[in-house]
Amino acid sequence: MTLSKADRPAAPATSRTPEEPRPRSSRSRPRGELFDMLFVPGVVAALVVYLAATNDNFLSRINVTNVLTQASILAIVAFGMTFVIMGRELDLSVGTGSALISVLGATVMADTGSIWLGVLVCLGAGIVLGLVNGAIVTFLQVPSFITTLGTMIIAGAVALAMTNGGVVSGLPDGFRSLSTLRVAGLPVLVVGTAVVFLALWWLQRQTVFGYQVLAVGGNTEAARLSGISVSRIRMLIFLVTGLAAALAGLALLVRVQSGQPNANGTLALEAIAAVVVGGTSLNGGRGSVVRTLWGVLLIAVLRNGLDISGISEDYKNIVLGIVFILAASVDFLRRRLIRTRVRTLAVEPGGVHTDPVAGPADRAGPSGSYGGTPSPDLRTTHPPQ
Amino acid sequence: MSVTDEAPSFGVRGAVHDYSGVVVLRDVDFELRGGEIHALLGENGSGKSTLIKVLTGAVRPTGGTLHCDDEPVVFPTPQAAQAAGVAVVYQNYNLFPDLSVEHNLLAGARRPPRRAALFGAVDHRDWRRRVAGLLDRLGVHLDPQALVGSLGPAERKFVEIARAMLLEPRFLILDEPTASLEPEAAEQVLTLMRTLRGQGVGLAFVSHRLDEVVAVADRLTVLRDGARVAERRVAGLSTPEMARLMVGDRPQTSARRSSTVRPDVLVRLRDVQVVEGGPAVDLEVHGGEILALAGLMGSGAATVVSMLGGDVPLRGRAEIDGRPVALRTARDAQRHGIGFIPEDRKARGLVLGQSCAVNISLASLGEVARHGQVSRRRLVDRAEDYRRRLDIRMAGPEVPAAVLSGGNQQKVMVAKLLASGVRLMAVEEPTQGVDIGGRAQIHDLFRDFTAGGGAVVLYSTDVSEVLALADRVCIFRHGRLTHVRPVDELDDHRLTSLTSGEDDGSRAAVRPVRAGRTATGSAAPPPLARTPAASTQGEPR
Repeated sequence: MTLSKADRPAAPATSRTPEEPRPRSSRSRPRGELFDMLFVPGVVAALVVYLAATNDNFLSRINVTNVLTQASILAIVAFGMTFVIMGRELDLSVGTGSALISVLGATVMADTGSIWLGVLVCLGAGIVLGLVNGAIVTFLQVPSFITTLGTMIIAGAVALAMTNGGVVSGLPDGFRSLSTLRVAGLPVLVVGTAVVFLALWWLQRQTVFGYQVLAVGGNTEAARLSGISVSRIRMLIFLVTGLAAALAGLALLVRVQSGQPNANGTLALEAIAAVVVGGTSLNGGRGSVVRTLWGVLLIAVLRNGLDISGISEDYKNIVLGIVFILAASVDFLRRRLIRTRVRTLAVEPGGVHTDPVAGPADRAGPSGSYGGTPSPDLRTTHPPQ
Repeated sequence: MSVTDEAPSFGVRGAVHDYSGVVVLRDVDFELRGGEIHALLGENGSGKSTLIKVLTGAVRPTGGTLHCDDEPVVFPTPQAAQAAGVAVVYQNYNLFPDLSVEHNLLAGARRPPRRAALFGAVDHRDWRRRVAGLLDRLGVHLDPQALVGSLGPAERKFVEIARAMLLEPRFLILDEPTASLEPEAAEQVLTLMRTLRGQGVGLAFVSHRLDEVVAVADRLTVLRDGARVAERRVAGLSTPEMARLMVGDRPQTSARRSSTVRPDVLVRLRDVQVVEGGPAVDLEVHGGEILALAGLMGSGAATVVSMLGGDVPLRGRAEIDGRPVALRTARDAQRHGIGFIPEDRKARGLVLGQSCAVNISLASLGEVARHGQVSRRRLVDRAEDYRRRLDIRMAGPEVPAAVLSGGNQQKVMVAKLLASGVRLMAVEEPTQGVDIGGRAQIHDLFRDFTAGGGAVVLYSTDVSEVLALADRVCIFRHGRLTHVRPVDELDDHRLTSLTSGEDDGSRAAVRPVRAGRTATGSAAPPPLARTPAASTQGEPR
């Protein structure tokens, strides 16, 4: 990508040393970042405005509650998934994992009548799922896609085998009341999801662990050579998704009041979609739980909008599929925009040039297949000083 | 000069280029003739890359005209430049490691041979013959079926050059062809360049290694701040003169300071097997010392540095302050106060997408956190502190490490180690890809660090750097520590001959390219005689 390294701007000449910082960088970067940060929220807001204007029921209390409740399970899993993706891994096992956990929890609660024991079993199962995934990825060096594909299949099969395909009902009355319990006027599921969001936001944004996840995802070697235990971080991110699967299983129990071996089959993929739609990079090293929140909201609002417009389930999924792809291409377009900017900022680097935003895939081809001259767009994006 | 006047020529006159009003080239003339090697010199940011882009059609200059054999030409695209006979080899490798040499070349071929009988599938037999012919013509001994991933760095460069030569260009432009190569490998690449010159190809190349320029180039053009400050014949120019042309009046070499070596041994390595099954090596590092490990590729000098830094597990025992410690991982090393700066700082040192502040604190996040909670302000304050102390040129602590220049990135690496409170820095190639000004500053950082009682153990293929920086030099050969010398007892010549093992007569003398002129003159005769045109140019008038 030799093209992208523009020589250092030499004006206003003479007195500058070669490594003088680019004067415009401090101004133009935030512009790109602002666009980056506000794009998905902007789309959500536009969608809300549109739906509110075209449909009287959209902003009704019952519909809003409905949207949030329906989004809660996806949200919990997607918040956890954010860590895995920031660490440049994937976890496909959360969907069937959460179904299995709901079956386990329901079975224990129905058999013993103890809610707390059921909850503990759910959390324990989530921890085991996460540790198993993490251990296989870390110590057997199996790519996480394969590892969690395997555990996804196993978890689904175990859930079906335990129940012979049926649902597990007969939960204690105390648990049953949770489905109608409201805290501060909101269903307990929504409040619980908000708590999970705050906890994981704190974990990602405020803790050493959060920075280390980004470092491992951004450059594993640099993280290792900085003394960060990469194995530990990998184990922990799968533990986060394992626990998220446990909470999703519990949420499922609260919502439908029975253990559902067949539920959540595509939940993991939807969660990955929500994370990517929110703007977290599948290449690792970049992203946040806040972005994922917006990604989840976008999917939830869109799905609800299609629901209340009376579009059938099949067509709804076609639209959602298209939106996922569009969202991913928006990410690409945005990176192009930022890359154009970095191109003008980059000082001629001494060593091997690595494009800061583009992956290795968009390196220039061998005999100069880099497209076009950069100068025209450089001029349009950067008016002279 | 009559011969060269008739030779084909290609170049640009009065090249002006600006990026959105910021001028990077000012009225630059550059001319490349057939059958010559023309060095393009300048510090990072002097406009070399833009000039190369202008010459190869990657960028259309704001002003100035390209000309080929005195005819004006315009290159709207890189393909147009190729069609006009101008090829380029970029600095970083653009090869497919899992494909064979011939398939790599096939990927860059314009019109590969096809067989109609196989519905236009590639005729691999014919292609292999063509590749073998090309490699033969370049004087390169490479198996066309060898996987590129299994080749050494010099051989990969050969493949890149061969790919460029597939198009049979008359002019070849090489951007730092030897930047990441060890001296011997670099010499091989230079030999190939001489071969091409012998075949009448005009070569322009960028290099930061001035002795290489002395060794191969016929002429040189020096850029400074986007303007051409000199176009000279190389004959008769010395490397200090070249450096002066590049830098101008700025001090270019850091002055040696009095040593700060203390009597106490900070780290002692015992019974270290540098190569598997090799002899045991003992090594002592004192506080306040800069210890350089020198040796050719495969000598084990680099391995000792990476073992010390925990990059690879230590085969042997280590003591710090007289206490035995385990050094298996970078984490171990860090815990015992040893920091590591890898050679490839972009791929292995920095998290390029993260801010400079995060990179600086990456090895010591615990210190900007309380109870596991990171204080963003302390993170940034700390980065500002190091920015001031190490003179790191960055727009702010929040900019990603990717946008910094090589020298400033290396300062971020040093800041990272300082921030984590290390007592010993294990550094590979401290100033590779760093311009001369940045280099002196980084050297000073190491000296400041050792003056405070810390120690630096470094591996560098740059002889002048070793001599400028080290207090003691340990010379490795074939996994054996052959000499330990105070730096006062060494000079360029002595050090290169010790590393290449001339003195014991057990090996044929292979001088690394660092020895500059004498290497080509006496030790190993160049494989191909210069062309008449070139040798006329090579002689001083």
